Amino acid sequence: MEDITKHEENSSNNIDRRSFFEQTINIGIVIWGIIASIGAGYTGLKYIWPTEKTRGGVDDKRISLPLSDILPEGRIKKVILKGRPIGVIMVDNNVHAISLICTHLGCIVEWQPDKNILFCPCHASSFDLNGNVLGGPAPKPLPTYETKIVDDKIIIG
Amino acid sequence: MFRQKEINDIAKKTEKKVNLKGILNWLTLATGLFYGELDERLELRDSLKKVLKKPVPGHVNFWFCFGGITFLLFVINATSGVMLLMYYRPTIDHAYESVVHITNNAPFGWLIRGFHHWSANIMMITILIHMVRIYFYGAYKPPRDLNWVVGVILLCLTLTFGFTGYLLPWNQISYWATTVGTEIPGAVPVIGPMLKNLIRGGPDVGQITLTRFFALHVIILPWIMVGLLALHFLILRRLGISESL
Repeated sequence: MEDITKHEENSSNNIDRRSFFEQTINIGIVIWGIIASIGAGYTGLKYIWPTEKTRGGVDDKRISLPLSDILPEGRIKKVILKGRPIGVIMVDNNVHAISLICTHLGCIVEWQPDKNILFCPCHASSFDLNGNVLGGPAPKPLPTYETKIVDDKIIIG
Repeated sequence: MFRQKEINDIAKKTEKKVNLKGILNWLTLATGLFYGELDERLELRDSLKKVLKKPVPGHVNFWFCFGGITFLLFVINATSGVMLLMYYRPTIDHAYESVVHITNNAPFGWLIRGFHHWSANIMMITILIHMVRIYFYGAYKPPRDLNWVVGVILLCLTLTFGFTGYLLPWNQISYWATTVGTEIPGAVPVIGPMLKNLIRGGPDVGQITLTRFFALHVIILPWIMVGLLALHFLILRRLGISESL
């Protein structure tokens, strides 16, 4: 037992062949581990990170639909633009394209043609057709989208 | 005046020390299990040393490595399999499409799928070499006979892994391989047709078959495998590596 402790004391002051190799190998393992984990982490993160490519296909920048879809006035037509639901409504000859995702906690708002408001069923936020908050807990107005009428088609976005 | 300066110096020094210690303490969250304050309490380093630095008998050579290589390949398969699950869709309408998507669109998807494919294939070879080594060294003899039995069950599980995984891309070769492969248990006397029906989840290879094979491949088999591997290693540790001839 005494010999062993003596050996250990010696090795801490004056490095011997065995502990030199041990330490070198350990440092090598640590360096290899760091490089490998950086490489694997980069590969894995890159693989799961959502991009246009991983979601499959390029999103449409704009969308067009026939005018007859939103007639008569006051009727809502729901479309998807860049993966988000949009309501297209015609009131007083003006076409409104407005996001249907409530700015409070992301529920889908519903169109109430008798009151001319968009109402959120989750927490009772209400918005007008320009997106402005009329009541409820919603912190921000609903985003609106530009619309253009070309012949008998509406272009949104 | 002089005293004040001295005090300031000491204060500065201790402040620096505290900061350094703070950083080190923070690092213990990452490395502390083996070094520093957490290790003082849990003493993991010493127990780990006992496991990792256990001496092996002198006669151990290269051929003794293949069990470990097989385990490494299993771990690679498990991790790459989890990665593939991030995009794979187990429906007959989307399975093939999603596998093509992984291979062609997802960054490094080809690499991860390649890892999964090749380590699965190489695993069969390493298992074979492992078994041949055990056989010719007579390492299957009592008291290690039970571990041989566990090993054979592990081989069967690996084969089932291969069979169920083969269907998941849902292409022509996997569809017909599964048709033929499930037709074989159908030839068993008396219970054959029942068995075939049970494996397929219906009279034909279809959506239910894919769902079943998917469940087997990603949940049921892996956990049975992990449990049996633990038993395999536990018996090995208890009995030690076999003597040389």
